[in-house]
Amino acid sequence: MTREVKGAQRLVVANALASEAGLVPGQSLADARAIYPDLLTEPQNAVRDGLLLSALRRWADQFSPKVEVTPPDALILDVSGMAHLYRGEAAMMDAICDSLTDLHMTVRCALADTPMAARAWARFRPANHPYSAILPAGQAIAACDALPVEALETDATEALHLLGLRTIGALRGKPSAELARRFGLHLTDAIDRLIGRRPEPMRAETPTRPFATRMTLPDPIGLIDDVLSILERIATPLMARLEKDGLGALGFTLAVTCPDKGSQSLHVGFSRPMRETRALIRQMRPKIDTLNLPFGADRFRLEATGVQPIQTRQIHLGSEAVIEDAMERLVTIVGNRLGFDRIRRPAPSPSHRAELECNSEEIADNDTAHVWPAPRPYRPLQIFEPEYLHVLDEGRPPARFEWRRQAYRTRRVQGPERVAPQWWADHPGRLSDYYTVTTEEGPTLWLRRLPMAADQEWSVAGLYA
Amino acid sequence: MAGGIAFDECAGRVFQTPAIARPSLQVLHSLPAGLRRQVHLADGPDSFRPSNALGLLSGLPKLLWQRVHEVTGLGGLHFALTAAKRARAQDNAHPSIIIGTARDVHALRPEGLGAYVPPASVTMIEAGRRADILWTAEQALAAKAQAVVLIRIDQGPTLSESRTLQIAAERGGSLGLILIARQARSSACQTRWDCQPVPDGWDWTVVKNKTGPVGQWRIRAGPDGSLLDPIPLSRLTPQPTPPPHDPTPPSASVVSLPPTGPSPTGARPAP
Repeated sequence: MTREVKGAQRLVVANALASEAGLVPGQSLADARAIYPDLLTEPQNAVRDGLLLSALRRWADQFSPKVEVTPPDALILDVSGMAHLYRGEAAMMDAICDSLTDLHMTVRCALADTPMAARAWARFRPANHPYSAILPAGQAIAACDALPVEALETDATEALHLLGLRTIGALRGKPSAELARRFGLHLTDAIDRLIGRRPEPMRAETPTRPFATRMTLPDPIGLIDDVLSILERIATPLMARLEKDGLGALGFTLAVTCPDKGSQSLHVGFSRPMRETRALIRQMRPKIDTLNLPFGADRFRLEATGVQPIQTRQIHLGSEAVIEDAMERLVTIVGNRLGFDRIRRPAPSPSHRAELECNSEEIADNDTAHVWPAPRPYRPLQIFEPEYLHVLDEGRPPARFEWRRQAYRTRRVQGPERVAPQWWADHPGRLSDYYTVTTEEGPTLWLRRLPMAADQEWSVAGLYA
Repeated sequence: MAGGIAFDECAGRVFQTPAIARPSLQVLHSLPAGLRRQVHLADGPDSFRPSNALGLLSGLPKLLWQRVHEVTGLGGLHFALTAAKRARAQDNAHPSIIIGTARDVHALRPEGLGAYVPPASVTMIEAGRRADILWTAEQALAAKAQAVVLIRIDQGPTLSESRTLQIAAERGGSLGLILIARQARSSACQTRWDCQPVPDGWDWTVVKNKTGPVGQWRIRAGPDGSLLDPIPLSRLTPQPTPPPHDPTPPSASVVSLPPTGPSPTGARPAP
């Protein structure tokens, strides 16, 4: 494995054969080729490594319920109370190593009292040490004295080497207050974690279970009814799994793979978690109608996204529950055609600026309850992008003006309300005065005046009811 | 069904008695109007509302639920929101749905809406094209949400579009209010109102009414924002000038005020 570090391709990992030939990680690729001309290398792919590691984490679930991924290259298993299931720690270790060897993996394993000690022992175990990969309980402190200071994984390694402190044992002989003063608390903290004086909690993630089903056909199919029946067949077990766990999904993605032109994704959403096959098919049908499958499709994969628990509710047969149910179904139907971001509800605005006042938020899967500020009745019902008006008679506001091809005469004026720019925002806006103008013709308008403007000083910014 | 029933939310519906299969929209379309009415009546009475009519103000024609009404004029939004407010006063569960272009929907100020209905009960749907607006309106009217559906549209719906909306409203039991920005066309709406703002109120004109009277009313707002009793405007219109050979002067008991605002086109005097 190579990676570009400091402007040169360098080795990151070397396998056993390469190490015997004298190659070490950190060497530049040119040096390594000089030592061993037939060297086979591959650039490191961090994404692929991460995927492999997460796959291994799922694999490791068979040995321990608590598995922590330590990027870039380690897994830590909490095996407290597990060993007797395998008749001893050594047998368990053998089982793990055998299982990994079956997967064609080269691994270094260690079992120790603390996670840090196990990690250090796996990486830096001296070749001719009396202890094998398993450190007996209570022996971690003594055994780790032989390890090099790299095992502490701190940034003080080089400085320690310069001082001649090469092993952890040499380091432990020094007063920890001195070490902390010279190298920072990280170093003493690492030593404490290694010997178990300070606990190191495991960050074991609960395994995420992908809710997906798929079906591969021997021959491609292209008829809409066939696709729908396939969808029903793969949706039924998926819904059964969701139901078994008391879950529902906010969305479903159907990936249809054609032999000739790759995969197409169809997505439907729901306004609340759902696990009903009929509703899925009802929403998916118009999307499937749009599929273009000249040579048919042979692979189908249905995945549930946004999986959430569903609460079963006890309701009474009142109008409110029925209305709520009808509204949620309406959101689902309309959202799947127009897009869920087009279905909104009003939200309070954090600003006094007119252009920020008309605030709204998506309605689907949104349970936010807002606190509304005190109403400001002097503001209009509708606010729009200011439209410049044509002044017929001067005045403040103009005595006569024309807007949207209609002449208006000012009858009564309230205001002005001065709104200052938001100096802290990216788009602060302009200093504006707003006048409420009741016209002889009837409509009450909200006029904006820009105090500093040379021309086009007046515009209509809103309309009262 | 007193008390309650367990209801699985994921099923997405309250369990209903297996009803007789209902005719599809296309079949309903092909039926004559009288027969269609019978099909709907066979569905049973609506248990949600005590009355099928929504009274706006005393003296005005009522808005019928399960029908589509059209509103023109600059004051149309105020009229429609007043109707939504009255519907919530009838029963607190009625939601409001506002459908229109993104520009129309975004112009609504949340706090301004809050003066009529609670903002949390408002659903705003932005539909881009006219066809999308009409489709969304049909879905919203057909959903049994007992909603007041405000549809903001540029040109009024045609006869067939309006019939589709009307059938959807009859199925769903909602009240449809089509706010027409420009021009109404001949359509299947139940009533058509022309609402124009005047300096201290509004003039509401019933231009068309299938089952009741038409007329023009002056609406004034009280000091606290509530609407006062409407004044029939047909009495306020100036008396036609008497022919010269008639010596009797116009009756002094009739108030004679010049009309403010645009003259009501197509309005007939109230009987």
